[in-house]
Amino acid sequence: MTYNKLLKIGISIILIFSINACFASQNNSEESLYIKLEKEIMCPVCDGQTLDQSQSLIADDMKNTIKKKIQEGYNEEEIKIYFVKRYGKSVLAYPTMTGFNAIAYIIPSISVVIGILILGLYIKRDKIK
Amino acid sequence: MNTFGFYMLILGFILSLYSSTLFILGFYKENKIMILSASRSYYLSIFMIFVSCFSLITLFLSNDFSNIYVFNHSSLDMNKALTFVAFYAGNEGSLLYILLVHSILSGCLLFFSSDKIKSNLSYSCAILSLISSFYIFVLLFFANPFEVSTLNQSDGKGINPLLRHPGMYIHPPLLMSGLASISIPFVISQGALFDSKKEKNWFPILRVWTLISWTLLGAGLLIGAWWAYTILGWGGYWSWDPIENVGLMPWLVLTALIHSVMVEERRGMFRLWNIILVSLTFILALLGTFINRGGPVVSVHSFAASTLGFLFLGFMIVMTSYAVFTIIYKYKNIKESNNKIESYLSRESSFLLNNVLLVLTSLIILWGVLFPVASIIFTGTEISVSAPYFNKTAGPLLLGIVLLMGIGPVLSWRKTTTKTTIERISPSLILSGLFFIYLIIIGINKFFPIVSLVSIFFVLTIIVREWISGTRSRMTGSINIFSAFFKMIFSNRGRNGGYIVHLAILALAFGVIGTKFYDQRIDTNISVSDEISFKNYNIYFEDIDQTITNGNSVTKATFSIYNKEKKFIGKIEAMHSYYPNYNQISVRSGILSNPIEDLYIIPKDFIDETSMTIRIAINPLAWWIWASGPILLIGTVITLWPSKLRKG
Repeated sequence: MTYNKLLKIGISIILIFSINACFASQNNSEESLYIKLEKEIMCPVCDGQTLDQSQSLIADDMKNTIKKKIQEGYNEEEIKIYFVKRYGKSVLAYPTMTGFNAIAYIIPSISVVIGILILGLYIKRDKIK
Repeated sequence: MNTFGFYMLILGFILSLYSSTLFILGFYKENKIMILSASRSYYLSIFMIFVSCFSLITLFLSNDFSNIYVFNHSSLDMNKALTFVAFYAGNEGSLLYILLVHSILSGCLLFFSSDKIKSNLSYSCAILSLISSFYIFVLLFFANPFEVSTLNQSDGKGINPLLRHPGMYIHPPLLMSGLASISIPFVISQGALFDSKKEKNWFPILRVWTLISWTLLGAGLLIGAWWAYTILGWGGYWSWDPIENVGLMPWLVLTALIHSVMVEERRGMFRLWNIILVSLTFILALLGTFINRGGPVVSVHSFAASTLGFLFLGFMIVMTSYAVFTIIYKYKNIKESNNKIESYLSRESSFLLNNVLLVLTSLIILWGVLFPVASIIFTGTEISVSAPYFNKTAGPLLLGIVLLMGIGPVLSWRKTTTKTTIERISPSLILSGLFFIYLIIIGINKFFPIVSLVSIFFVLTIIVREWISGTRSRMTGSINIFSAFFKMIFSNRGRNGGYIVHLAILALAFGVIGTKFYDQRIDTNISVSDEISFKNYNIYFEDIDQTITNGNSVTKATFSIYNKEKKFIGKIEAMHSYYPNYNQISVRSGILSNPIEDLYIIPKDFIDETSMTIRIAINPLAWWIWASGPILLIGTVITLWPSKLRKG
């Protein structure tokens, strides 16, 4: 019983703090946008490396472009579009959620749901026997 | 030496073909003499392979540049140790190395397996010697490391600069051994499928070999990460590169297997499921070899790339069909016990959920690796699938697996009531709640890290609590706390070894969260005797020192690091080397590490003789990632300690 009470108190405290956490301001400075973009844009000439991994000249060039664009006030989306226009879709380090590429995300989500569902049904069937 | 090595391979080829034929014949005719002859010729073929490897190493050590493979991967300026390991630095040599590991492990299986299964082992050994034959076939006809050129070369090209690192001595051999070793659990499962007497003796052996593969592969991956962290100079350690992924996928399925084999051991369930998991692991390992040797995806690991992709693709397809067919036609030989899962809240269920999550994670990674190919086929556009995708898709599942590590062990076998479960976890839940509040107070407010850190803490308290109560119950009379603790650990090696491995995974997760979400960095120009202040550090640039040896230029920058109170903490040396023969740059970052954070300096560009561009990064908690390695090893050793084997 005491456990249950403590548990309830604990959960309420956690809830209060979670709500608080959700409203806490996110640090979205230029610096963090730069780091984010550097990890999400590929170096077009290096085999499978993102900008932050690459040491090539073109990657350095692109990093400078990102810095410049951020200072000029471009937002994340605009900078990505700028690079996609120049180097094609493969300059983004991830498939976009549009068109055919959305399948890249749909299949994993569906398979997780189906996997856990099958597991649940399997255990249920086993239990009855 | 060249011809000698080659002929040894040919002999090995003939012997292993001969032994596989006799193994199969002996198995079906139950003829002991045939099997004996097969075993002996197999041992002999292993010896031939050994001698062949030895010849190649001799060629390397004697700097025989008439051999094309030696010419391409060695040079006079390399030290002896590096020359020695250069033998597995390229396509041909690494194949020979894999063959060697495969042979040695097969020999161990044949030699050490208990007499109970020895009579039935011949079918497994037939597959092992067929796999050997395939590798030797590729070496003889497509990737001959003993090919001789007619040119008279006085010096070789040398090993790829990125491979000149201590990691080269451990990472490739461990990783290749890990991938190669997966054939052993696979053939054991095949032996079980073809065992018409429906014996159960296969499973303890399967468990041991699974753990061995798991440890080899896991250690290989971790050391690869450490290598990337110290030499590739980008501050990261895992880039979700296809080659990294194909090593991770079988490891995840092996992890699932280690858990489900325990259910087999305890309750005799999931036997067929275990065999399916082993086969899946094996296929994933073959896929790894295929992608490594010229698969359809781009990767930074192109050291062993070749045009042999089609051979390995063919081999993978053949083995996959074979595995599927044998499971379909022979599953009746696997006798399941009559035990059933009795409750959602049971150890069995939690292990099954663990299996589902691990296999799903592995398949989702596979999906990500192959998706660029799918995109080109169906839409014609090239796309990249890299870290951001995998973090989004596999990340949450991995977190779920960590959380399960806390809940699973408190559930009993067969069934647990909700009430007892809550009672068992509530102290940890309360502590985790307090920890959550603490995290908020110190300013951690991003969703994913906070959930992960609380989960890690939760699992930690569960393990620690169990250990404390176990130790206490043994602290009677004169027994002190340490001996009580060790007695407790060794009283149930399987379980506590497992917990130690769980602690290693927690340390790993802790480090990953720190570095992924809280890294900080600046790029800056700095001149000699400048001082830069970044976060808690004052970085004083001592000097630049450039040396040119054999045409390769190595530039070393030295920094003295002080804290905010101007107290000296340490020196950092960062190196930047240029290898004109390869037109390649190799960067060695300077790292000052402690359990809280790493100060990480990457030399980027040298502007002139006294100034350069550097990136200074703070990687919080990175230390814990590397700490997980030794912990993991200790845990596995405790689990695998031999008395356990004899019982099996």
